[in-house]
Amino acid sequence: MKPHEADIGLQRQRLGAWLEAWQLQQRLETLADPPEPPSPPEPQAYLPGSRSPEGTSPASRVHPGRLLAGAIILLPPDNEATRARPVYVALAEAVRGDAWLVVPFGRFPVPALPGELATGRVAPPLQVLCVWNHAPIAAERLARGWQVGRLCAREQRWLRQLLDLPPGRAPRKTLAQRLGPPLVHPLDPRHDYIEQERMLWLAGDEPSRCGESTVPCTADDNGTLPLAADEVDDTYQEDHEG
Amino acid sequence: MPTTFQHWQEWRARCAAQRCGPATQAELRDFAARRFLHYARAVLGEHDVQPQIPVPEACWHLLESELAAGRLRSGRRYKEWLFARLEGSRDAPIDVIQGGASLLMRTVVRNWALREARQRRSRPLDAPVGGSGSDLTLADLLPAAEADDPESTELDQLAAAEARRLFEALPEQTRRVVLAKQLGLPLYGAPLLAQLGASRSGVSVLWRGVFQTLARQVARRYSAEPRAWQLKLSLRTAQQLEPLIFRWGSLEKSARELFFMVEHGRRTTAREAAGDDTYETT
Repeated sequence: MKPHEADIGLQRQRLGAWLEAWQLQQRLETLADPPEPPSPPEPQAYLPGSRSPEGTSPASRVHPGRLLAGAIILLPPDNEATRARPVYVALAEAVRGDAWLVVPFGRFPVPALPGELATGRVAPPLQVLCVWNHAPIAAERLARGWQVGRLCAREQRWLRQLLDLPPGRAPRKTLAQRLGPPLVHPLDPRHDYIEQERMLWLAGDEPSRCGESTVPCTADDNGTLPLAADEVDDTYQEDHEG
Repeated sequence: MPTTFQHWQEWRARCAAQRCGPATQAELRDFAARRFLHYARAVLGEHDVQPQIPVPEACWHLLESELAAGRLRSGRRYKEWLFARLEGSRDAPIDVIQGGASLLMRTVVRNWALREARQRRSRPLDAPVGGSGSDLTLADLLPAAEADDPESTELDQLAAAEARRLFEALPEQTRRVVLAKQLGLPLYGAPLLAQLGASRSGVSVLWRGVFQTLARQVARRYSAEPRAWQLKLSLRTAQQLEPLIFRWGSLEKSARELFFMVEHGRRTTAREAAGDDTYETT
């Protein structure tokens, strides 16, 4: 088999895997929830200012002055797209004014496009970086989210290389192998995916209602996931890093 | 019994369901199992699901582990996201929380199905992949790279003629949709939909319709040619349509607004980057 034939075979395999995920997602999104047993009487509306239920303390949000390149932030659910799923972004660089160029993580476990990078992480929410969908986001909005970790040095290097890549130029082969398959056909379902993902940045966000002053939490995390109940105390890292 | 808001609050405070009281554990576990089974049946079918479905405890565990962004407590901020969805909502808190958890559970089931049921979905290259009503295959979506093709010039000439034919047949609204896509405008954004006078699904149908029409046009006019050749011609025709649309758009008054929107988008980006609310975009 010629090298380019092997490449196209691999790309088709990857596209097939992505299409599986896409089609499953489409079917799941159209499903209604199953009926729930009737609930006992409860408060009928959430009271503003009651963000901290008794016995819980709200997790630290991000201090806007302490944002750093490479930080991974979970955006607040402040528009249709960010209310529909947890959206994680990586901070690429500070841009003019009080804002950051951010790159969102993808909702699927495999990269869809040549502008999407497989990070190789175990944690499903952080497996794909959608570099093509980068956007400037105000630090004030980021500060309403939560920091969940940091890109490792290698991921930051990959991200930089992709952001700096001149149009029409291919990345080095080792990096290219981590990217999604090319988009060739106008009827490829990935066109619809692109339009959906671009909505992340279109819906208007609401003003912040909480004024927690927090310290950023940082966590380099590329390892395997323990059982959820195997709690790891990261208080030290939250208090002393960043 | 259904879950209550207090169950979810306890779970939020105690980190994992295993650390909650027996009642909370049981209700959360049952909630997760009901959702999991419902979604898994829908995507895989009753027969395929039964032997594979995880036990109720495992359904909840999958939710906690699949959604974690890391090993540390900071990797479980999705819980904060779940509760932050309450802000500004007029629905009953339990409905908001359960609604959010249902969204999360769909992701869990999707990832589970991708891992556990992969072998039954391995598909050949010539199997349709484009969804219902489409006969597109993986080989169509990613055709093999073309080697030095002696027919290339002739194919380009045919493509130019087909592109011209297609362009002439496209209504103005459809041309504007193609131009908007070409200019990189977000097709599903409210301002563009208003400009195009179409809904999200309407725009999608118009965009897809262009290339479905093209495929039919090529298949009809070159019915004796092999499918792979027809595909090659269609893809080249699609490329050659772009400059025709662009030229039309740059001269057509009704399309001028789209170019303004591109410029407006640049300015808005600059304004957002600067965090400046007073930036004028006129």
